[in-house]
Amino acid sequence: MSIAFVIAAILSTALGSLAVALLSREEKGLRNGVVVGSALLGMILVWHLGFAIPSGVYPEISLAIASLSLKLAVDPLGLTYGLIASTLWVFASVYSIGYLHGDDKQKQYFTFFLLSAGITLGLAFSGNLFTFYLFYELLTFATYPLVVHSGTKDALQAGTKYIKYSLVGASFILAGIVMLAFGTGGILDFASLPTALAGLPLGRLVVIFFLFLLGFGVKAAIMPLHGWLPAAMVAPTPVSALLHAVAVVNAGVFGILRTVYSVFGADLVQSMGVRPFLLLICSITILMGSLIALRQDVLKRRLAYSTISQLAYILLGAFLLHPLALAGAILHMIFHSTLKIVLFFSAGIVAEETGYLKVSELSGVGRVLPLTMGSFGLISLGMIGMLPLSGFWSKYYLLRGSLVTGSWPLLVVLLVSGILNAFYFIPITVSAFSGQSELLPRKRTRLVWLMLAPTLVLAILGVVLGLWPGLTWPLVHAVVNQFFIL
Amino acid sequence: MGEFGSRIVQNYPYVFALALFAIGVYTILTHSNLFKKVIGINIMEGSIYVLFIAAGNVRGGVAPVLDLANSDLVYVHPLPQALMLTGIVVSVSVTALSLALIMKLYRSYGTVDAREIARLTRLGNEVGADVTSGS
Amino acid sequence: MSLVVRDNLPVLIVVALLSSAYVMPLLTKIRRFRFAEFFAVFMIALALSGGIYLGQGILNHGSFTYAVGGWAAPWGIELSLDAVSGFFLITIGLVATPIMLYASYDLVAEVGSRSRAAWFLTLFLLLVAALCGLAITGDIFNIYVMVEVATIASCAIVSARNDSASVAATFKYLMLATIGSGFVLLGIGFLFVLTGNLNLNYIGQTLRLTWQNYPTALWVALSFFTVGFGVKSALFPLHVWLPDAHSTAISPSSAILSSLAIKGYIIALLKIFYVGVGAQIIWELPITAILTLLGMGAIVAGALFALAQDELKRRLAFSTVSQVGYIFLGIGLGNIHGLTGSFMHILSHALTKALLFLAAGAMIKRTGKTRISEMAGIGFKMPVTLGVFAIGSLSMIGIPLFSGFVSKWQLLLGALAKGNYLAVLVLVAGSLLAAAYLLPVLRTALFVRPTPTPAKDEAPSVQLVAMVFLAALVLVVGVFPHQVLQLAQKAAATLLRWGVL
Repeated sequence: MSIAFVIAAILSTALGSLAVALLSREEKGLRNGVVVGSALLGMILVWHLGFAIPSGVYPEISLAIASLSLKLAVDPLGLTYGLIASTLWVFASVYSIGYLHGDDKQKQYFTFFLLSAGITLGLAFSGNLFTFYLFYELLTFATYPLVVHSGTKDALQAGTKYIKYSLVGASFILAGIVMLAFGTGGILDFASLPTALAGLPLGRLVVIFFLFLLGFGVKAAIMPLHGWLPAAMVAPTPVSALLHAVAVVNAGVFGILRTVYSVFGADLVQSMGVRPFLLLICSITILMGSLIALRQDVLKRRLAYSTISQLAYILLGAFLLHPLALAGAILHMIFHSTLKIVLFFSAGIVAEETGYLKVSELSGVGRVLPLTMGSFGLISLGMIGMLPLSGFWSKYYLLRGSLVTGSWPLLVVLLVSGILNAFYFIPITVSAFSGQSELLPRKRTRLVWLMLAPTLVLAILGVVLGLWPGLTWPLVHAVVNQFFIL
Repeated sequence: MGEFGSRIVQNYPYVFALALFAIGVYTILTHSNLFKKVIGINIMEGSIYVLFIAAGNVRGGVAPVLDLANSDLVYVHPLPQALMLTGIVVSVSVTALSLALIMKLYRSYGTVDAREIARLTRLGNEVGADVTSGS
Repeated sequence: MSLVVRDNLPVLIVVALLSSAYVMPLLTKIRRFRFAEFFAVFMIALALSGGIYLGQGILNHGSFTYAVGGWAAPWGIELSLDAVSGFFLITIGLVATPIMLYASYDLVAEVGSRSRAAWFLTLFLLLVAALCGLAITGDIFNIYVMVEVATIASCAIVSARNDSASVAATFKYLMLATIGSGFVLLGIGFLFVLTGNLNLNYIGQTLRLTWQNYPTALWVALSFFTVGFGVKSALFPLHVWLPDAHSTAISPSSAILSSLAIKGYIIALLKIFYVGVGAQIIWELPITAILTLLGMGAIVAGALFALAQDELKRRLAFSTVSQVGYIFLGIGLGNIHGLTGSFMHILSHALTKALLFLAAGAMIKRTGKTRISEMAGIGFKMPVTLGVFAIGSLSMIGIPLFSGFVSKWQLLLGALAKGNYLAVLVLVAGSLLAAAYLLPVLRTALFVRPTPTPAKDEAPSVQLVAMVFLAALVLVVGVFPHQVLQLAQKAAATLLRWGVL
C-alpha cells in the first residue's frame, strides 16, 4: 500500500469535477457516469487504504509548498472520516442524479459536488495543520455553490451566512496555527505536535486551544456557533444530507478531534483544566439542540437541530478524554452519519413526491410512500438510540465513558436528550402511518428509484451495523490505540 | 533671549523656509480657486529652494567659480544650487501640467472653483451621465 | 549577452525604457499603431528579462553597485543593485507586461484618438522607467527625480481618456502628490544638511556615527518622508486622492497605478529608512510604532470604505488603500518576517490588484455596467473573466495556495515575533473584510442568474491572455513561492543589514 492511493483518491474526484466542468451541459448520461464513477473510484481507493488498518503501517508524503509543507498522511482517525465521507458520497451522488433530474444547473452542481468530495478526502488525509487548514478553507468555497444552488434570495442569504460563519471560524484557526507555528518553530505535523508543544507556556496553549475550538466549532455547529446550519437547509436535499449531516459538519468535528488528540494530546488537554467547560458547552448544545428541534415544524430544520445535538454527542465523547468515550465518539461519528443521511434522503423524497416540507403536513404520507417513511421511522429509532439500530451502540459507549470518568451529570444529559429525541422523531412516523391522508396524488418523479435505492440500502446498513457493531471495531480500536496506550 | 531663541535666530533661513512651506501647503489645501492652488505649489517649492541654498551657503563665500589665481577664496557649496536647478525644472513641469489641467477643467466645467467642480462631478455621478458633455 | 550590455545592464534598463518612451509618438507616425504597441510590450518584457537576470545574479552572487557615467560615489550617482532592486524590478516587469498587453487591444478607442494613444504609451513607459529607476537607484536626490517623473507620468495617465471626471481627479491627485513631493524634498534637504551626502550608503554611515547629536532633526526628517511618501502611496488617512484617481482612469491605468506606481514610493521609503537611516536608528525612534498604527488603521478603514462602495472600480480602489496598510504594517513591524511580508505583499498585491482591475475593466467594457448591484449573472456571460476575478479575490482574502496567503503568513509571523497581538487581530480581520467586499461581487456575478441566461460574450482574447497570465502568476507564487520568497527574504535581510542569509 502506498500514499499513491490517497493521492489517487483525491484526484479521482477532483479530476471528475474537472471533467464535469468541461463536459457540455447537454451530455447528461456521460456526466452522470463520471459523477458516480469517480465517487465510486474514490470510495474503492479509500476502502483499500482502510484494509491496511490491521497492518498498522501508514504511508505519508510531504511536499514543500507556500513556504510551508503540504503533507498527506494516513492514520486511523483520518481513515474513519475518509471512509464515512467517501462511502456516503457514492450514495449521495446516485441520490443527487435522481433528485436533480430536470434541473438546469446540474453541471454546476456536480462540478462542485465532486470537488467537495476531493477536498473532503484531502481534509481526511491531511498530515499537518497547515494542510488541514488549507482543505478546511477550500471546503467552504467548494460547498458554497451547492448551498446557493437554487439561486433564490433565501438561498443566497443562507449562503452568505454560511460563508460569514465559516470564514470567521477559519480566521480563528489561522490565528491559532500561526501562534502554534511561531511557538514550535514551524512544526505543524500531527505526528510530532503533542511533544513539540510540551515546552510552551500553558496560558498561550489555552488561548490557541480556544482559537481552534471557536474555529472548528463553527462547522461542528457547537452552540452558539450553529446559526448557519439551520439556515443552510435551503440547499437541495442531497446537499443537506451529505454536507450538513456528514461531510461539512463532520469536518468541524474531525477538526476538534484532531485538535484534542493530534495537536494537543489528551494529557495536555487534561492538564489545561478546560475539560469541565468543554463538557458543559457540549451538554448545553445537546439539550438545547434537542429542545429547539422539538419546536421545529419544517422537517429539514428539525433534522438540522437534531444534527446539532447529535454532533455534540461526538464532541462530548472526545472531550471526556477516556478511551471508552473516544470509542463512543468515533462510533457515533460513523453511525450518526449513516443514519442521519437516511433521514434527510427520506425527507427529500417526501418533499419531491408530495411537495410537503412541514411535519404537520406529513400525516398519512406513510400510506403513499411506505418504503420512504418506513426507512425514516426505522432509522429515527436509531437516532433515539434503540436496539437493534446502530445508534444504540455509540450511545452505550458514551454512557460507559461518562460513568467511568465519574461524570454523572452527563448521564442525565444523555438520557434526557434521548427522551427528547423520541419526542420529536416518533410522532412523525406515527402520524405518517396513522393520520388521515388528504394527499394530492403522488407525483411519481421519473427517477424516484434513484433516490429510494440509496435510502433503503443505507437503512439496511443501519440495521446491519446495529446487529453486528463489531464490524466497525477494527477501525474504532485502531483510533483508540492511536491516542491512548492501552 | 534663551538658548532656544538664539538657536532660532541662528537658523533663521531654515525657520523662514519652514514657515514659507507651511504657507504654501496651507494655500494648496484651503483655497478652492485652482490658480491659487498652483500659486501655493510654487510658494511651497520656493521654500525648499531657500532651505537648500541656505544649507549650502558659507558666510563670506563667493559663487563657486574656480579662481586659480586667488587661492584663499571661500566658495559656497555648489551642490545644493545644482540640485535646486533640477528642483526648479521639476516644479516648472508640475506648474505647466497643472495649468494645462486647469484649462481642461475650465473648458468642461466652466469654472475654476474646486468646490463647484466637485459638486458638478458628484451630480454627474448621481445622474449617471456626464453633465458636462457637449462643452 | 555582450559584455558591454551585461556590465551596464542596470542603467540600460532605465535608459532603454526612457528612450523608447519618447520615440513612441514618432513610431506611431511612421509605422502602424499596432507595431508601436507591440514595441512597448516588447520593451517592458525586455526590462523584465533584464530584471530577472539581475535578480538571479543578486541571489547567487550578492549585491553590487554601479557608478553612472563612471563617476564613483559619493560624487557620482550610484546605482545600488541589491535584492530590493532585483525584487522590485521583477515585480514591475511581471505586472507591467500583461497590463500593456491588455491595453494594446483597443487603446485608441479607449483614450479617444491615435495621438492620445501614442502619448499614453509614452507615459506608460515613462512610469515604468521611473519605477525601475526607483528600484535601482542608491542616491537620495535621484530618488526625488524618479519620484517626480513617476508622479507626473501617473497623473497624466489618469486623465488619458480626457473625460471631465478623470481630469478633475487628476488635478486633485496632482496637488496632493506635489505636496507629498514637497515633504519628500524637504526631508531630503534635512538629510543633506545633517550628513552632507546624497548617497544613501554614505548617509547611513554618517548617521550611524552622529545621529545622537541631533535626534530631533532626524525625527523631523523621517516624519517628512512618512508624510510625503504616505500621501503618494495612499497611506490612510492621506489616501483621499486615490479613490477618485484610480476609479475614473481607464482600466489599464488603474491597474498600473494601483498595482505598481504606489509601490515605487514605498520602495523609496524603505530605501531611505533602512539603507539611508538604518534599522537600529529607526527602531530607536517612535517612527516604526507610528507606521504600525497607520498600517493597521489603513487596513481596517480602507476595507470599511471599500464595503460602502457599490461601484466596482471604486471598491477596488479603496481595497488598495486597505492593502497598502498591510505593506506599511510590515514596514512598521520592522523585523525580518514583517519586511519579508511587506515585500511579498508588494508583489502579491501588484499581481492581484492588476488582475482585479483588468477583469473589472473587461466586465465594465462588455456590459457597460459599473455597479456591482447591476452585475447579476455576468459570470454566465464572461466565465473566464469571472474565473480570474475569483482567483484574484481569493488571493486578496489570503486563502492558502494563492499568493496573498504567502505574504499574510509572513506578516502574521512578524506580528507574533514582535508580540503585537493587535496586529495579528487586524491582519486576520483584514482578510475577513476583504472577503466581505470582494465575495459579494462573485456572488452577484456567478450565482444570481437573470432570466434568460445571458449568452456567452467573453472579453477579447488578447485581454484574456493578459488576465490569465496574471492569474497563473498568482497561483504560481502561491503554490511555489520559494524563489521569490527567497529573494524577498534576502531583500528584507539587506534592509536589516544582515550579513548573510
